[in-house]
Amino acid sequence: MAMAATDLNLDVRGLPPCEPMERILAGSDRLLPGQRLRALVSREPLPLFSMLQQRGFDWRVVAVVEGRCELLVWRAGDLQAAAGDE
Amino acid sequence: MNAGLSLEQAPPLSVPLRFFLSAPLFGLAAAGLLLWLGPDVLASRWSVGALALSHLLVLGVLAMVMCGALLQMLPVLAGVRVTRPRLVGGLCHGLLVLGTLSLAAGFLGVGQDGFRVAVVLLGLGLGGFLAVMGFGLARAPHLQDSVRGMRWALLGLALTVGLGLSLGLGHSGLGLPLLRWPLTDLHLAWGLLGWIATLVAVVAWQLVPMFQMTPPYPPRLRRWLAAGMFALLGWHSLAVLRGWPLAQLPALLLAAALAIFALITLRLLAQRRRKVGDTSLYFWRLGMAGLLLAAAIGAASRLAPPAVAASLALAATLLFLLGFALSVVNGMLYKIVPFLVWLHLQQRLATRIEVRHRIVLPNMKSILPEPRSRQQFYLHLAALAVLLAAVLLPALLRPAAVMWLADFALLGLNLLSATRRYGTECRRIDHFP
Repeated sequence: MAMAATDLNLDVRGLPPCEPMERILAGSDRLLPGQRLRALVSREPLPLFSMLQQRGFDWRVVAVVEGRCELLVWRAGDLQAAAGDE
Repeated sequence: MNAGLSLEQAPPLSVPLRFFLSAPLFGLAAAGLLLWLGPDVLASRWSVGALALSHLLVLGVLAMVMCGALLQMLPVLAGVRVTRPRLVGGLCHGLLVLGTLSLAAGFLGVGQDGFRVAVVLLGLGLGGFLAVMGFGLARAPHLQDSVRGMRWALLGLALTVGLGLSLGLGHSGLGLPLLRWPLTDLHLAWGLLGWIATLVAVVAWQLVPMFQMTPPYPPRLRRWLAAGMFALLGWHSLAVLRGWPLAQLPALLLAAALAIFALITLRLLAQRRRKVGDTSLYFWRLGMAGLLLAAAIGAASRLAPPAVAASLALAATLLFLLGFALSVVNGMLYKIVPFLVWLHLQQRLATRIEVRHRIVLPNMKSILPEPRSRQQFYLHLAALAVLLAAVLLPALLRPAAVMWLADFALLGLNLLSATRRYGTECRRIDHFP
């Protein structure tokens, strides 16, 4: 799978709640125009999605298997980041 | 983009918190009753004191926490929408509180009026809860193992409540028969196993891997345990009602199923990624040890001669309620309450866009500090040990009651401190310059 050069990568698997969500929120705040956050989480972080929405981010769950969820986050309205490589 | 699963569907924090904060108060009432009545309370399962005490515990503490947790968890974890959560939560909570108090008063001497009021209040409160949850679960967008399991647990609660209301009506002096046998045994079996144990198992599939960072539970266990326990309880009920041969077999198989669940949980806890333990982990381990012992002693009581069977059954029941169920409830509260406080603070912070980046919110560990919960765990462990010793040495019952009073008081204070922290942080967010 090709990866956009500007993606921020974050692996928060193995961290206790609520650290994965804290780090994803903090990482999302650092996103530049055209940039996405690619996060690896142990499970689908369901409560996180409304927090991202409230803060003005869009997201997409790329893959979920037991013990691993890959998540893409970008600023809402950032068409370049939304188009990405997927 | 994933949609539909969000905090916006979850009820306000006050909904689950009112249930969680009420539970230690009922625990204090139960411990106070134990102190007041003394050793006589354990002399017979039919004593009014034993009946009042057990219902204060299972309705006022265990069901109270479980109902509050379900109202909160289903929207967040399973995408189940609860209609008008503040109203539903408030009504269920009020009816459960008043119904439990009326029932205890009925057992303790108020008599038929107490039972009549309790039947109405508990019937409405728990019946309403079941209707709301059942409606939500029937329309759950994600048919996970937990959703399937919760349906079985709620069916178990429905049967328990139905049997309990029948018994309550029998006590009410309305001319209806009081069928103590066999309804009491069935009420007990469905309540302890079909509701409490099934729900704990189903909740454990979600919470143990999530909070303790263990591998997931085996898919076959998640797929079949709740349904299997329901089937075994059905078999047990028919065997009791119809006088079938091998009536002990389903009870022994139920004990084996619970022992397997406990052993798998202990194995998963030993495989957790973080080696540093916390109070919640200790409570879960104690709970599973209590369940293993309760299953073994309960099975032994079925095969033992009558002279010792009653003492064994009493020890198994105490281990199940206080060693297993109450320990796990403590372990859950010490994770769920700080987690919910953190989630709701994040939600509140998101509404203040202009100061969002300048406010650092407390994490879960600082919302409910570990040393405070650890103290309560050791008190809980000691209270359990002294109470079990009191089965053989009744003189220890009152000292055990004092320890349970301290245990519930400390739990209540710890939960209250997390609630206060929430209030403080809310004010900080709202008034940040």
